[in-house]
Amino acid sequence: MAAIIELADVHHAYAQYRQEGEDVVRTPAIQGVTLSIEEGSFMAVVGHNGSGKSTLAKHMNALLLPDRGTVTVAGMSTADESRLWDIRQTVGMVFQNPDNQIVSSIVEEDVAFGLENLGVPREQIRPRVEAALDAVGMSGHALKAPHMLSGGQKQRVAIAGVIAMRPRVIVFDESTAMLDPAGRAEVLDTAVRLNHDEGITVIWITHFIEECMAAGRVVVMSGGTVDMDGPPLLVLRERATLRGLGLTAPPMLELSGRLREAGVPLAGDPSTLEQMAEALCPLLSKN
Amino acid sequence: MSIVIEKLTHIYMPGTPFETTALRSVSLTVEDGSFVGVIGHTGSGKSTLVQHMNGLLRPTSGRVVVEGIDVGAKGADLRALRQQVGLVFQYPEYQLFEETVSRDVAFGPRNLGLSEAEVARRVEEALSRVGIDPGELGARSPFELSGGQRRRVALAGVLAMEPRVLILDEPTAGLDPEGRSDMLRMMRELRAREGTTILMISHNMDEVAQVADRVLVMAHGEAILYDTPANVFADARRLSGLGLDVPLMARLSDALRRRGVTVPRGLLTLDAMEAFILERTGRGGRDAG
Amino acid sequence: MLGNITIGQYFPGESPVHRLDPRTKLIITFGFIVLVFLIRSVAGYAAVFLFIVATAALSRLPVRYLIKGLRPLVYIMLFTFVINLFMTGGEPLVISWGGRVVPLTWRFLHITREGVRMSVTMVFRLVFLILGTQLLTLTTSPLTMTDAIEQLLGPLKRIRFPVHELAMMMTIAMRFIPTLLQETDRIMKAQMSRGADFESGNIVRRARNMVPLLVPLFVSAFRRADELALAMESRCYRGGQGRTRMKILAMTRLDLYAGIAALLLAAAVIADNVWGGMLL
Repeated sequence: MAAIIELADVHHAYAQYRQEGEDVVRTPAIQGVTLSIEEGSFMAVVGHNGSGKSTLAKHMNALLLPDRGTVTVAGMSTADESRLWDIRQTVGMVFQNPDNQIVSSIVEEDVAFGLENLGVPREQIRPRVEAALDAVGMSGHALKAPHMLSGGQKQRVAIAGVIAMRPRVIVFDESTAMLDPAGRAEVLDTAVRLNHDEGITVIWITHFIEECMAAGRVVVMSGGTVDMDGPPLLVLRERATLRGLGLTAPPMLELSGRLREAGVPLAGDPSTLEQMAEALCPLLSKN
Repeated sequence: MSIVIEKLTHIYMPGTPFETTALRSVSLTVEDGSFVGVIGHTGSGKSTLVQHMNGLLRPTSGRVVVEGIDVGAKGADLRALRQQVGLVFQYPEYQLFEETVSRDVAFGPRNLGLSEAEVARRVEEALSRVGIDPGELGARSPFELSGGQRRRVALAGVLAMEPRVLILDEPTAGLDPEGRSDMLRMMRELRAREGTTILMISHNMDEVAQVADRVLVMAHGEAILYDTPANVFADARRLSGLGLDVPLMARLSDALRRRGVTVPRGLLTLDAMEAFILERTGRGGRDAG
Repeated sequence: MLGNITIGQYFPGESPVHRLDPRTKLIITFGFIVLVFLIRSVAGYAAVFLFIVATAALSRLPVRYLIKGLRPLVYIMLFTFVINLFMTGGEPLVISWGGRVVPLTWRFLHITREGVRMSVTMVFRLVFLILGTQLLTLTTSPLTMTDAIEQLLGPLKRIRFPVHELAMMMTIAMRFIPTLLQETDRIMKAQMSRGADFESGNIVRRARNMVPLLVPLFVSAFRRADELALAMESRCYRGGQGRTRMKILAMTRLDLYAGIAALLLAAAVIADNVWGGMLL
């Protein structure tokens, strides 16, 4: 399949104004990132705070522009101002804080917000809002006030607001960081389903490494560069490299790695809980 | 005995259409020096419960006695109580307000009316305890620090009150894995060194399994279970009925048991599981289990 | 603590008053406020009172709830009463006390006939104003209210008045009020746990004690504003130009009835003013 987003040698630095006023310190956030993201794929980007992953996310729908290098979305350069709104309609964003991205005090009106901005004719808005709420499993909450919802539900409302605009890509910028485990699972499941059923390209930015297991491709960032890139089972098995980047492999991979190192003859390649139980069973029931 | 709660009931906004019973006849005793993990669904009453422990809320009925102070009594010395019981709210970094890190940490001790020398000593000590170098960052504005550093400063602000009981509401929420393990380590150290009684509200069962020696399960305003982690997490079905999880390794133990493997109770962390497997397969030392 | 503030909070329902077009309700409330200041007679007060009672009954709001809304304003009412009672000029009232006739006057304070009348009418006016506006806010969701304001102010767009921006600001403000109230509550409790005192001391001291609450609150409000702006931008928000709306306001027969009832009330009060007797 063709690439929907291409980043070529992207550099970005934030300007920091110290108290003296004049001396501007530029802190580099990403330095020379080149990535090609295929349409319909599910790509996870993992890294520590300050690894540059959120800065990278904001380049994908022109909320930030590269200092150097180019970002191309469906053939449009993000530097081309005349295509700005097309780019933002193509690439939707779901942010970290569920409270700070909902505009209206009624769920369905918030979902309609993007459509209203696009000038979609009125008679088309309601069916699209209803379909979007349905797709995230929030139809029963259409008339609720956001502050009455759980964090996971708020994030799903935010996702509905994005998918109502029919984007081809959704970037989740640490959208689970502030949620409890149940909320995290809700939001991740929704993303997986949208990718699977609707063919929406998902870019999943996170600091929870175990969430990367849901992706088809994992990009590990640190210090503003891409350090590892590949399928999760290959990338996340590199325990030593991950440790060097201050990350720990997902629990089942960590456990199988440790057991192998100690000489336990684990059969197969257990990466999920059930597989692990299956592999351990013959070893533990022997005696 | 550090905290004694008897038949505590709390009703919010009585007499309005928004009236809700947040706590229903909760009784429990927290022993001195214990580390209690408080788990429960959103709205289960966890936050309401802990806010009684330093007098931010008063019982609608029932009794709460903390370090000998009856919270519900008329004229209870809330100042003394709050000195004994430190409460760290969710996302505490958002409560920082002073111009410098040191002054923010000094806010609590100053309110206690301590001498400047004593305030300075406590600020220094609290900051070092959370891994912030007072010399390097003390004079900086808290708003210049990273999120993780700000959270530690906020924690230091409570530690500087030198409380006997420390209550934390989801202290690791929103932190990255490194920040999370730092936070857990600091709590463990604090308890080991000062004998502080700690209550930690958390949604993360793996974290609770790592640090707590008692687990309190709240649901619908009631205290459902209050036992050791091994016992509480042994009842996976009951917990999942309450919308709660069990630690990953407890689930792995269950999956193994279903396959006919005998697995001891209380294997709740990755290290414990690893040690058990190594021992069973004849590769571990005696310390396993 | 702050969760207890419910005055004017929308009370969801399906009553005829809830279903009225918010524009109708806004205009009637506006007219009602003017009318309350025009009343001059007991008959006028009675008419307005009847109107309020009828609307309240139709709205199916719990009476207890409506009255509760008056409670926080009791001090303002008392203050108004006392000021008018003592500060209105005129002939002091006299009472008989153990066979003697005593004028109600002490130093510069006099209770006059006009004073009594004035203080009683002012309190009634306040009560009517509060009940009237409460009926509006309790039965109208904040968002439809914003829509109504945007539409009613629509003509001002011609003189480049930023009507859309104003309405968007109101929408966002209403959306964030509960969030910021929750946050205020949390920060307040957090600082109280560190020994902060928000309740005692003189005014200067109290104001200074608010710093640990206000600074974090402002910082947080700005951070939220920043993040919200980013989220709005990424959802293609670019001002009112070319925007469509999912919901449009529509008047029904109900609005006609409400309009007629309101006009009748206005006519009655004005007629009473022109031809009625000065009973009080």
